[in-house]
This record gives sequence, structure tokens and C-alpha cells, in this order.
Amino acid sequence: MRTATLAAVLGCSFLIAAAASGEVKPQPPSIAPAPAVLPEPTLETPTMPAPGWESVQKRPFEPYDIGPPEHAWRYEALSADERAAVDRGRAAGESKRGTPEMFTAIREHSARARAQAAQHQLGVDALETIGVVP
Amino acid sequence: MKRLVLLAACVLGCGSGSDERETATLDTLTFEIPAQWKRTDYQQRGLNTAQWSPAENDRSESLVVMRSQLAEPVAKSGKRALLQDLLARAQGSLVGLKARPVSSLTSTHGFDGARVEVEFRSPKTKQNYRRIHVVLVEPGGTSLVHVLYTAKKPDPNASVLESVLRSIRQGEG
Repeated sequence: MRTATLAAVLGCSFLIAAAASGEVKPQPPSIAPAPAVLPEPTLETPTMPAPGWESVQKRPFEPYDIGPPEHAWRYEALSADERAAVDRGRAAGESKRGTPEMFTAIREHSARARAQAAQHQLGVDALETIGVVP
Repeated sequence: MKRLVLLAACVLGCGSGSDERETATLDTLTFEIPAQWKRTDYQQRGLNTAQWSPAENDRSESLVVMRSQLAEPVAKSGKRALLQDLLARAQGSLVGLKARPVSSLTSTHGFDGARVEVEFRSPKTKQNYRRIHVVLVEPGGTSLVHVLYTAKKPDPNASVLESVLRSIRQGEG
């Protein structure tokens, strides 16, 4: 009886020691599953303006439409300062139309260009310097 | 009297109208140039150009001969009116231009061409010059030949230019 009790105690001690030693087998690292690829958020039909809401492509060098004629600002309705500003703009516009000096320069430049083209066709150039002896 | 004769001989001998000529060549061209005139060769945008001036150059004279193969389409066209029109228009780049009407000519050795006489102001020397510009078409229409006589006080007979026009031909001698 005594021997049986000792054996039982030893057995229990062995089991407790084995549990305490903690021999744990390494586990492979857990890999998170790849998230599912979401589909591109596109609409099934292309975006089109609603009928009646289409916008017209404006031509870049045309002035904007001011709407009905009564929306236009009349010169007579302007203040003195505003009229002065408009007059300055008109004067600048007039000067852009050209001056006699500008027309002369254009004519001279044009004649020079025609002359150079003719010289090119004749296979000669720099006529103003060829054979000029001081 | 003897002095006067010597002086007259010296004046005649030193002038551009001297009869003493020598043969000059440029590429395939041959022509006569006064023996006293000195030659300078240079390249003008790929064109062979020869310029002559007298050693004593009181008139600021020069004679330039250029042979241009770049103008083959014009040379081959054989249209005198086109050549005259181009020659007239080509003078348009000259400052203070006064031009006489363009005329046509045929040289002694059968070169057809056009001729214009102009007066202009040189931007380089700021002085007025007179020039006779002649364009000749080589027989066969392979190239154009430019002959320019330019001077501040031109020889009224342009004897150097006339000598070249009388003598210019293809081939040696």
C-alpha cells in the first residue's frame, strides 16, 4: 500500500513537471488572407449631360455673350470716369490699327523679303556688300 | 611738249580703260580682265567668287564674277522674263535704291542674260555707289554667272565689264 501511494505521488509529480516545462512546438506564422481586389468604381454608362444641359464649347477668341441687348451697358449710361476709361481703350485700339511709320516699315520689310527670295532663286545674296570698295 | 606727251601716256596707262588684258578663269569660265587689276578669291556661301580691283583705285571700282550652281532651276527654265523679273526684284534689298529698267542681252559667246543698272547707298561705308549687275545663263542651263561692276565714280563706258561680257566663254583659253 505504501509503495502504491509513493508510485502515485511520483507519477503525479512527473506529470506536473512535464506540464510546467512548457515544451511548445513552434507554430507557423499565421498569414492574413489577401483582401479581395475591389473592382474599379466605374459607371456602366459614360457620363453625359442631361438633355437640355449640354454646354457648347466656346471659341477662344470670341467674346462672351452678354445675353439680351438690354443687358448691354450703354456709353451714355456711364459715369465720367468710366467714359474716360472707355475713351482710353478706344484710343489704344485706334493706335493698333497702324501708323504711317508702321506701314512704311511693313512695306520696307516686305520689299526686303521679296528681294531676298529673288536673290535666293538667283543663287546670290548680300548684294549690299558684294564688290563694295571703300 | 615732251612732258605733255609723257603725262598723257601716264594717264592713259594708269586708267581703268587700259587695253592691256590678261586671261582669267573661274571654274569652267574664261574671260579677259585688265592686267593691272588685282584678284581676290573668296567663298560666298559656297559660291566661288572672284573680285578684281585696280591697284590705284580712286574710283573705288570693283568687278565681281560669281558662278552659281545653286540656281539651276532658274537657269534651266530658259525664261528671259523670269530672269529679268528676279534680277529686278533682287535689287530691292539695297538701301536708297534707284534702278533703271532691266534689259536683256546675249554675250558674244552666246550667254543669254539680263542687265540692270542701280544706284544705292552702302550700309558699310555710308556712301553712294553705282552698279551694273549682269546675270548670264551658261549655255546648257547648268548655272548662272553673275558679273557685277560696282564703283563710287564709275567708268562711264564700264569698259572692264564690257570686256568681260565680250570675252566670257566656257572652257580654258
